[in-house]
Amino acid sequence: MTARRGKEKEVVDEARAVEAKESLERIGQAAVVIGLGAAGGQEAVRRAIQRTGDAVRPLVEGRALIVHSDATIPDGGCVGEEDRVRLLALPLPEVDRLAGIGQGAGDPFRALFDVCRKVGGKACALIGSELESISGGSIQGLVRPLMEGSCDLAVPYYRQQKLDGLINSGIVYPLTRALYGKRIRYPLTTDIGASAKYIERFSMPERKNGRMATLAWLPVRAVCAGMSVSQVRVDLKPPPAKGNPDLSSTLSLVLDSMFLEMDRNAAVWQKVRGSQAVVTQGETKVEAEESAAVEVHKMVDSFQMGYRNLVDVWGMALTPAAMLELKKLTRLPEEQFRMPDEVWVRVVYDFALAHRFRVMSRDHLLRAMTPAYLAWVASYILEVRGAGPRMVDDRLERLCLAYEANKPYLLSRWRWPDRFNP
Amino acid sequence: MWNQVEDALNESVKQVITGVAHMLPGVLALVVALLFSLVLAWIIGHVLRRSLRGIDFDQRLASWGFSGLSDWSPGKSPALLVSRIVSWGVVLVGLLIGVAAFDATLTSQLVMNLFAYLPNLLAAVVVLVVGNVLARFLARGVLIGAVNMNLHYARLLSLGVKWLVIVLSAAMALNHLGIGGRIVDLAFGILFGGIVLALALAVGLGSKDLVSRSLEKQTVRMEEEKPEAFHHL
Repeated sequence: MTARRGKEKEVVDEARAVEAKESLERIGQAAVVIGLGAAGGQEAVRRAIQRTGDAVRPLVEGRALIVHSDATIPDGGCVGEEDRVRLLALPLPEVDRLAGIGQGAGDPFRALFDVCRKVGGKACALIGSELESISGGSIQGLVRPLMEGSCDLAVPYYRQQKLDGLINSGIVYPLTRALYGKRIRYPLTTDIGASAKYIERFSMPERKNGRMATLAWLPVRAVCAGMSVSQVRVDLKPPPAKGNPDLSSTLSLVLDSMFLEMDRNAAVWQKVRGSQAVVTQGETKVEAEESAAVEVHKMVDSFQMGYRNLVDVWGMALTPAAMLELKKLTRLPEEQFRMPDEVWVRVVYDFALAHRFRVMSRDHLLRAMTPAYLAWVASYILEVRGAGPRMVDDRLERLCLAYEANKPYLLSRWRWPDRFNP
Repeated sequence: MWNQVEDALNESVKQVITGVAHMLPGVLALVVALLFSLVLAWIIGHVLRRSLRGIDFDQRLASWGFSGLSDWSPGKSPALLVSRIVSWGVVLVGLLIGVAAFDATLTSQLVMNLFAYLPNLLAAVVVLVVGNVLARFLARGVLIGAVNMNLHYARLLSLGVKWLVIVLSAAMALNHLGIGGRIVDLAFGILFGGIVLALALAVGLGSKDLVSRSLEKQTVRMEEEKPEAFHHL
């Protein structure tokens, strides 16, 4: 039944793609293409189109094109009275936070790049965040630097609470920063603005293990290609991951993708030392304090249980010194539970190395990291409890510096894995 | 009479010497065949070991999910295990060639029987090795999954899975070897049934408090589930 529905959807999508191709030819040229990639009801799509149209109109002299998923809106229609913002219904693959990572069904980024090339666009933006969170300011923020030619890729700097996006705060951001030397706060993003140069460089599909690879880690690709990246503070709200995967699956997907990217770009990041800030635009808003104190005892329990049971598995990935530090942590009472940055950084680096050298099944390895990650989360929550935004930023900065300071360790073991490492 | 004794002695000595003389070429052939096969085995083993190390055989094997094999290999190196198996195979063939020098009929019968049994032996070895690797792989997967689900009996669960697969593969291997006949089937049935029954009893009786506490926690958790104040992604 599901397979038949899937087939029917494919047929409908194909028909819509053919229609869209014809519509594209009718629409002709457009300076900017904006894609709305998130799923939503008709009303939500129409409201998002209206806000996007109003926001993009003052930015372009020529035409703009909004690509959306609502097939009931006629192609070639326009937003507002002027004929400058045209519409196109195209079945873009839905933007999923983990789809690009887990090699999902399709690649919305490349699909939109393709449209942009066909209409000769100077820039395009894909907004994968929830439709209701789209604001004129966010659209303008992502498109303006591209129109001004001040960068090749504009990525969002989401305004999140201090305890949101903990995988990003604890691993993705600091590790990307230490590796590639650019302080991009959200390297794993569902929203981007890309210049014609970027589109030209990355629109060709790549094959990976015989399958078409989806485009993930777009800012990292830009940095490795020597392109300029800027950040824009936006109010966009990234969509939740599809299917609500559990923590270990999410962690495994994100880290597997990240470590593979690390392997792919080894020649680039091995030459990088330290890090530089990237241009960040937009207003800084003071975030509201979280209301309730978060209990950490379950996380500490999970870590202690993980240590008791997974000591053999961890022993295959971690060095004896790191194992000793983790053992010390298991003895700490909850109120004193703190994981030193150096220990956490070594754990992450050791897992990255174990992933590279395939000391065991990669899925097992990354899932086994969950209790250690929970220990870091517990420690971080205890440290930033009651802290204001500036203190939280300082705390993260210290963590990032620890990642950078320990990069020679990663580099050494990456290059000479057989060297003695206590 | 002494002449007859002397003749008898001469005859027996002659027979013994003739027998020894008949045997000597065979013994010599056996020794030469053994020595030659030992040298050949050493060379083949050495070349094979170097070649396998050259292609990172150990790492490749681990990446294909056979990392458990290294625990059963000398020096934790499957490349060494493979080269030793091949070397000993060459020595065995040399031994058979040497034995053939004594009595071709006996050896051909031996070889025929050996070769007829070889597929069973190989199949049994493969079943055992695959079973073992699979048991370790599954046990580790179950252990990690159970720990991530906060199950306090994670290690027990993992051990149970491991031994179930090992027992199953051992029974299959013995079946292939034709050892034990129906006893193996019966014993396996009894053992497997026993394990399942023991687990059922453990869950039903012995661990009822543990299970009820766990279920209770789960129910309370579901009832009291409220949105987390933090998000991982």
